[in-house]
This record gives sequence, structure tokens and C-alpha cells, in this order.
Amino acid sequence: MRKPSTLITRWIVSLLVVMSFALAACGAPADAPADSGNVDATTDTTAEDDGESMADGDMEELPYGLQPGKPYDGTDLTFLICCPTASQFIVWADSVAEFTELTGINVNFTNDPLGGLREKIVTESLGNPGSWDVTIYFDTWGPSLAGFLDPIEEFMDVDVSDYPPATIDIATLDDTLYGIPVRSHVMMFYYREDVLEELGLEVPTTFEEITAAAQAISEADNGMEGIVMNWAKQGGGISLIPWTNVLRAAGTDMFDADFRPTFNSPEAIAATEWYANLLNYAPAASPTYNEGDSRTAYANGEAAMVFAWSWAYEIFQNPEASTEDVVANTGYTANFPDGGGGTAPVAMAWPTGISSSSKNKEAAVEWIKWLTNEDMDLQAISVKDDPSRSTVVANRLSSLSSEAANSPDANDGFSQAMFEAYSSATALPVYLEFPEVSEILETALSEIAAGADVAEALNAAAEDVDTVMQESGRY
Amino acid sequence: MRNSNVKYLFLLPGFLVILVTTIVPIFSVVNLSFQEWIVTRSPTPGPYIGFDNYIKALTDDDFWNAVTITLAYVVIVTAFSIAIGMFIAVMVQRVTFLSTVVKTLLIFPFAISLTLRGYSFRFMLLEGQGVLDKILDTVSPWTADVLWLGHPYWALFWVAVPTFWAWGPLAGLMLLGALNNISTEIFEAASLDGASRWRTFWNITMPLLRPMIFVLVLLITLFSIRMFDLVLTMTFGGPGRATETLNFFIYRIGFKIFNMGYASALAMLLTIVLIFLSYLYSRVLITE
Repeated sequence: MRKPSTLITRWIVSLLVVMSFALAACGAPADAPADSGNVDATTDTTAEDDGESMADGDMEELPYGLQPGKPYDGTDLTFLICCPTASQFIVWADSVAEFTELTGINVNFTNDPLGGLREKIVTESLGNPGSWDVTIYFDTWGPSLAGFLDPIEEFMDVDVSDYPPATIDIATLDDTLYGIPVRSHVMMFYYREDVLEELGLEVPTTFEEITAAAQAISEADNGMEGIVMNWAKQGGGISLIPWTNVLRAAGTDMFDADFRPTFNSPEAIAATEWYANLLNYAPAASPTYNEGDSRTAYANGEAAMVFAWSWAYEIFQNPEASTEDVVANTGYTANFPDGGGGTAPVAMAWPTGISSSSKNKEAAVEWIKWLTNEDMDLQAISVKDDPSRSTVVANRLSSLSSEAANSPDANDGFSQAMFEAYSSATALPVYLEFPEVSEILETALSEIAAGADVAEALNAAAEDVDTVMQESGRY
Repeated sequence: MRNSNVKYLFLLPGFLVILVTTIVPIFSVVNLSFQEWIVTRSPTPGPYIGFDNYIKALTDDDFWNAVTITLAYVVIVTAFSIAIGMFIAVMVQRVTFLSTVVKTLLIFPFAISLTLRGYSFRFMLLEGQGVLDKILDTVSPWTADVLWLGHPYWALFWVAVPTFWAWGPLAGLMLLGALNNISTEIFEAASLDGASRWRTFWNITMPLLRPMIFVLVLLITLFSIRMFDLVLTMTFGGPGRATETLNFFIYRIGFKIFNMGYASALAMLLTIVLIFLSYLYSRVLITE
């Protein structure tokens, strides 16, 4: 029988050893400096020099409404963001040096994977309030994050006239503009012009034509499937987006005006069955593809058609990210295939958000003014010197319709197509119960992709969604 | 007497660290498990609701699905790990050439992080492109149309593979140690009595290895019951909920739906199971 003191000592020492390993394994993530990863925070010459001195930041007037005199000199802002290789974000990071020179405010980019960004916003706001100052967020996350954000309207007047109404709607909660859209997309249909031409096919414009084209391409002996989609669960409701567009193109929608499910109506089931049937003409792994996988599959030439956001055009035009044939032969249209309900595409936006617990809110506003200035918005899509910094993402209608953006050396008319698409684009539904509902629906789509009956899966999902809505008091 | 008191004094700082980083959070989770709190609806915890979160778990189909999936996962991992480990132990025991190198290499799979294993296997299983998929299509052409990570049953098996791929060799090393502790005279006696190799293995080796096998079963169960990383990197719980283990289910409730009250209750249920298994494991060790 061992002595009690020996047992106690052994127990304590064992615990200490285990805890020391555990603590050693857990490292607090350091805030990423502005030049982390692929980002090179070089001086950017975005702002036009109109003769006034912009370098010395004294009481000289500064552009874009920035406050002169560097009132926030020495402030360190933490900017929560994802996707460090996104061209637009690289452009932002490049501009930090100039912003700092003008305002004295330093901006630290903290990068998180897209799938974990919402969690980061919530957990940091709860567990470490004040640890971040500005973030960008998916529009559909807005209502569930509103408790952690201060509306931008409280800090500045925003002229929304130059923004697509759909993106402003998305960023508005309870008639209050929470953030300014800084990364806006519209759903596009991309296709290989060379493949369609080789098979004597016209660009498909209806559900039936899409199916026929996809089938013809898959059956041809060209080593390529007809179409690729993303069905896999990814978190954040990403797989719901193209499906939502399919429902609307079929003349139905996810919910009615009271947020009662209509995604299991006969029309919605038929539309979903059409969408699921396309898997027969997609790469075999499509049911397990997330959004990035489906984009990559098209860029690698595995499939001839894909529904993807407008920003994907950057990838399909980048010879380092796509095959030569894809770069040379990608066509596009913002008209979603018509399933009887029209061709309007879905639009989405990433608004900016100021943390309600930030200790640097006024400085954060300065950074938002910088991010959303019209010159950066236009230059980002007009200058194509470097593929890694070449983006088609613009938020202002004036930028999208400009000659500079649509010149053959820039986007060769692509920006104009986006501009026209926004005139009919519809926003995704934005509601408080999105986290729960999106999990239910992503699971249902995943089951359908694995072979489950469409009606059964959607009816079961509708029951669960009803329960969530009732528990939240919506009806 | 004074020496005995001084040594506890030196242990005190470490104990305080454990108190702050472990004991306090555990009590916080216990407290939360009795409250209603959906973070996105309210930045502060809601009212106390008694055992409602625990009752919700016991009546939640998704919870029982997660329990079933976890049990199936543990059984697959444990069975294959022990089987592979036994095979390796018996084979390596006979190897004298480069035996040290072989034994060192056996640790290698376990040293690879779960995340790296998960992504690697995911890409290797990519239909029509992954190297593992192509090998399987060649070796077993009747499975050529199977989408490994998109099939409700196969997806769970393949999520288990990276785990027993690592545990198998480690189990082999542990079993090898136990094997080498068995007196060779027993095997010589069996051989003299005319016992075949299979009879010797089944009637002599296996019973003598039973204690080590039991320890391994407990240890592997303890580790695999908490599986999260491979689910996150390979399937995200899909297709549907076919690979949603309990730990992943808790993560989804807590960090995707942000229902912290319910997630805390689920975490406590899992903790109770883990405490029981840890107690069993410590009892077995003490007995050894």
C-alpha cells in the first residue's frame, strides 16, 4: 500500500506534466502583420495626387474624408479577414503603408479561413472583447452578428447611390445600414466556348438546354464532364447559394414573406431534382466538392460549365491558376438559366463591420473610408500588371460601368456585364435564424447529393426549419 | 517534515495554472450547461433552465445519431488498430535486420498531425484523381463507381482509416514489447509438444497478450471517441450526418449554431464518458 503523500505527489506531478504538454501545444495566434503570407505591404500609389501634399498628414485636407492632422496617430487596428490570396485583399494590404502615412493608423490583418471567420468574430467578441476592430462578414451572417457590431451609420453618412441596391439591402438590418459593401459578387454562368463550338452547341439559356449541353459534353470523348457544382457541406451556408438561384430561376424561393419554408413546394422539389440530375454529367467527385473544389475543377478543365461568383473570373483568366484552354476560352453570362422564373442572378456582398467593443472605433471608420474610396474601387479592377493583384471585384456602379474597367487591357467588358447583372440581381434572404437553418439545409443538400430522395430530404428539412422558426418566435 | 512542505510549495504555481486553465473553465461549462444561451440572439447567457439542455440531448435524434456514429467509429478504429498491431508485432518480432530502423519508422504515422492526415487522405481518395482511388479501382474494379467520401457508409470507414493507419503501428510496437516479455521457454515447450504456429499463436500468445490488448483497447477508445479533426478536414460531418461524431456535433452546435448552453450540456455528457474511461484505464494501469 503506497503512502498517501506519495500518491498525491505522483498525481500532482502527472497532472503538471500533462498540462505542460497541453499548454505547449496551444499557442495563442499572433495577429498577422499586414505583410503576412503572400501579402507585400508596399507603398501603393492609388490615391491621385491633385497637387496637395498627402505625405505629411498635417492639417492639409486629406482625400476621401479622412481626418487631417493625424488625430489617431499611433493607433493599431486589428482587421479580421479571410482568404489572404484573394487579389482584392492583396491590393488592400498593399495600400496599408500609404494609409498609415496619411493617418498614422497601422492596420494589422488577422487572417482566418473563410469557414472559421464567423466563429472567430463571435468567439473573439465574447471571450476577448476589443481584440478586433474591423471585420468583413458574409451578408447572411449579418443578423446573427449584429449584436457584436456597431452600425456604420452611427459614425458617418454613407452615400449609397453608387452601390447596387441588392448589396445595400443585404448590408441593412432593421432599416439601419450596418456596413458598407466592400466585396460584392453576382452569380455568373461560365462556360467553355471552344467546347460548345466543337460540339455545335449554343450557349444554354434554360434548364433544359443546360441538361442537354451537359449531357452532350459528358458523352463526347474529350475527357471532360459537362458541368461541375458544389454540393458538399462547408459551413456558413455556402452550398445553399447556387441552389437558391436555381429555386428563383424556377419561379419559387426558399421562404415566403413570413419565412415559412417554400423550398419543399412541388416547384422547388422539381427544380432541386433538375439540379441534382446534373450530377450525372458532373465529375464523379462533385457530391464532395465544396465551392473551391468546383471552381478548381473548372479551372483544371475537368468540366465545361460552372455556376460561380463573378470574382471567379480572376481565377479563370489567371494562367497560373487555370489551364491555357480555360484562360483563352472562358465565356460568361450573368443571366442564370431560365427554369420558368426568369434569369435574375443572385448577388451577395461582404459588408464591413465595426466591433461594438472596439476601443478604436473612430480610427476604424478612417480605415473603412480608405477601403471604400472610389479611386481604390476603380483602380483595383483597372490595373492588370500583376495577376496576383488583378481583381474584378468592385462595389460601385460607377467603377463597373467605367471605360477604364471595361477596356480590352482591363476586363474587356466583364465589368459591364456585372453592372448590368446588378440591375436585376436579388439578394439572399437575411434572417436571424440563418445559422441553424443553413446547417439543416446544407445537410439536406448533402444527403441529396449522396442519393437521398429529394422530396423526402426537403420535407424533413422543412419540418426542422419550422421548429427552429417557431422556437425563435418568428411565428 | 519541513522538506515535505517545501516540495508542495514548488508545485503550487503549476497547480494554480491548472486551476485557472482547466478547473475554472470546466466549472464554467457546467454552469453554462444549465442555462439557455444562443450567442447570436444574446451576448450574455440567458436564464437557468435546469436540466432542459440535458433532456434535449436525450431526445435529440441528431445527438443519438452522433453517439451511434461515434460508437461505430471507435469499433472500426479499435478493431483494425489491434489487428494491424498484432500483425506487425508478430512480423517484426522475427525481423532482426534493421529492426531498430523498422521500429523507428513505425512511430512515423502517429507523428503526423491529424489535420495533415485528413487532407492527405481526402485528396488521395478524390474520385477519378486520387492515387488511393485509382489503386482501389484497379484492385477492386467492382468498387470503381463508389464515391468513397460521398457514400454514407464508406465515408465513415475512410474517416477511420487515417486513425488506425497511425494507431496500428503504435499498437504493434506496444504489443511487440509485450511479446518480447513472454518467456521463450513457453514457445519451445509448445513446439516440442507439436503445436502448430496457429495453435501456438491462438492458445498461448493471445492469452498472454490479453492484458496489453485490453490496455490498448482502452487507450484507443479514449483517443478516438473524441475524433474531430479528421471529420472537419475530410467530410465536415457529411454526407448528410453520416460522419458526424459526437465531438463534431458539439462543435457544430457550439460554433456553427452558437447554442452554447446546449453545447455545454453535450460536452459534459461526453466528459462523463471520458472520465469513466480514464478511470478504467488508470485502474488497469495500477493493477498492472
